[in-house]
Amino acid sequence: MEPSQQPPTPTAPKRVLCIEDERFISDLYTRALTNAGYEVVVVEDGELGLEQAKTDNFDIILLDIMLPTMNGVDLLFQIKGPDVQPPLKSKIIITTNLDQKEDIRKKVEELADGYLIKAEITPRELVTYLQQLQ
Amino acid sequence: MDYLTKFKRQVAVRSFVGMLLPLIITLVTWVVLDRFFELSFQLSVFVTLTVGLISTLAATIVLVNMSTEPVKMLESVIGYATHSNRETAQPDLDNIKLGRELIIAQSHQIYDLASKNSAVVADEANINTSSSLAPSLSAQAILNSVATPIFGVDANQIITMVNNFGATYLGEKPSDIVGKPIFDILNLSFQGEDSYADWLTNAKSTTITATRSWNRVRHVIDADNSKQFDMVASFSSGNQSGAESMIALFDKTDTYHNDDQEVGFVALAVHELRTPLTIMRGYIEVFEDELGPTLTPELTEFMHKMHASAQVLASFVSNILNVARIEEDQLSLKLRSESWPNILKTAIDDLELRARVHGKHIELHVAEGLPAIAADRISIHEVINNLVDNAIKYSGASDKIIISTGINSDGLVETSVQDFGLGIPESVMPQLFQKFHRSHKSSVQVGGTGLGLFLCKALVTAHGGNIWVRSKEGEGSIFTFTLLPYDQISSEQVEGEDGIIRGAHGWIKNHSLYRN
Repeated sequence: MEPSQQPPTPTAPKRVLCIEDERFISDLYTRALTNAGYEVVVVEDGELGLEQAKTDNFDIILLDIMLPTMNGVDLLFQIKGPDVQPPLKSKIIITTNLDQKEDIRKKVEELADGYLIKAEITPRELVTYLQQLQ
Repeated sequence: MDYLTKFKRQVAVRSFVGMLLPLIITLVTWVVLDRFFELSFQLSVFVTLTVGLISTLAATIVLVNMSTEPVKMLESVIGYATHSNRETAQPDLDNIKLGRELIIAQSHQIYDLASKNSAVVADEANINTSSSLAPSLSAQAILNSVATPIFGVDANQIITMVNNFGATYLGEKPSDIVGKPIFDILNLSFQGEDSYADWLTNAKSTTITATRSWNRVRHVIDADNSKQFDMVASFSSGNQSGAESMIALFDKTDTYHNDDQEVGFVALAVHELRTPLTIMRGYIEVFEDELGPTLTPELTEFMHKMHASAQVLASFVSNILNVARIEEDQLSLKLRSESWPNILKTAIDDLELRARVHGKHIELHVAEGLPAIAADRISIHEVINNLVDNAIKYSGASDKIIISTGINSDGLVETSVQDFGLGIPESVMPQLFQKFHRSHKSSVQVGGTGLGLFLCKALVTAHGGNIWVRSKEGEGSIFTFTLLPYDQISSEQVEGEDGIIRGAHGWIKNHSLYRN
């Protein structure tokens, strides 16, 4: 695999909100995404994540599930779904190592724009994935 | 007796036809001679009588053969039952045309009596054995005193008897069970290929008596409650006691539940590996990006080995977690219309590094014009991963792994992974696709079987395909699996869904023979 480190578009860089409490992982993601031309903001707990997400100032939100103060599933329900008006323009990608019970996972997958298992994807593969989101 | 009346009627019809035929032939001969040949009256009478005599003789021979056939069959059944006869094979009752039911029923009585007889001989203390064939009160009392659920089922799969323990086991009254279809009372699923219903269908069409046992059968009560047991069923066609098959259950709910918990616990522990694994893989990648160009070939090689090993570890972790989810019925796939060459190439790009660090080379042959297949990308990727990982592991000294895919004669997309290594000992073959924790106690098989193939089978099956292996020790193995073209199942797609949802589990459900 070739490293894909070209900026996705020459225009304004895409903004990514990374809600992730594991510092090593957010560091890795930030590094790979920044190299690929994204602008990354990291927050480490659920409530701060919700606050940032609500500004709708991001193209993509990477959302972990196990988070301090508020878990990712609850956070997702507050920012996506039929009750949330106006709908966020941010695409929400769940990035987790947690296995959900099938029924919860189904709901989460319906609301989110993607569902990735962190252990099964490297930062480089994450970048490729996000670039293919359009 | 009903069968006897039927038999008499069959014989009567055949005798009548058999006698009518020579008469008709005689008449026709007379008319033909009279109309077309200018013979003298005496000659005509002579020829006609001769023809009539010969045809009557022929009809008699045929009728005698036909109507004594059942007697001959009974004779050989008695011979077989009493072992007094040189025949060693059980007479095949399916060959009879005349009086089939009668003979089958009588043969059963003979077998029944013969087995009772030998039981009496074996048990000298037994003085007063009932000779009645119907289940007597004392038989029911014996059944009730057996601490194992026992069910009797008639030819229409209706429960005709249950012992007390069986009713209690299911939390019902005997009167609420008897008269109901067995498939309504026992919601069975099996771990192997062959369910009770499959076995019974087969037994009904090929033999008159059969016995079969299953390990680990599950009876699902509701989402949170199920029982697991070993099961024995015996089938005896035309049995006069009203129970064509008998089913006995040996409860092992606790034992099997412990096994499940073992897997659940392992899964919990393995889950904790995911975060450090994510981080390791991430930093290995950073090293590759940053240091890659500056490293000596030897260090590059080390880097690749590290990367490949982290990949293997990640697959291992996801295998274990997937097996745990399969056990809990929590793994569901979403089949979408996908390009198979595309998925294969992506998967093999990933695997190439792993193959390379072990000095193996993957060759890929893709046939032209493959249709879009129904696949869950992630799951089918895991199938390829596992098969190629195995091929790498068991390649021995050979360095080539061939993956080829094309359309087979059934119109399915068939893919095979071939290595030229150690091959699989025949003794291991039957358990190859089973889960390791069922056989890990026998040390011989530890190296040969694991979770990988169990998972492959569950995943391929959930795709609607099949997986099998051909192998020869010392020459290598070919694992082959099939996938369906999306067109074949596109009608299953529900409005509003972007794919077809399928559950992956190791259980084969017992389907009813008589409903729907």
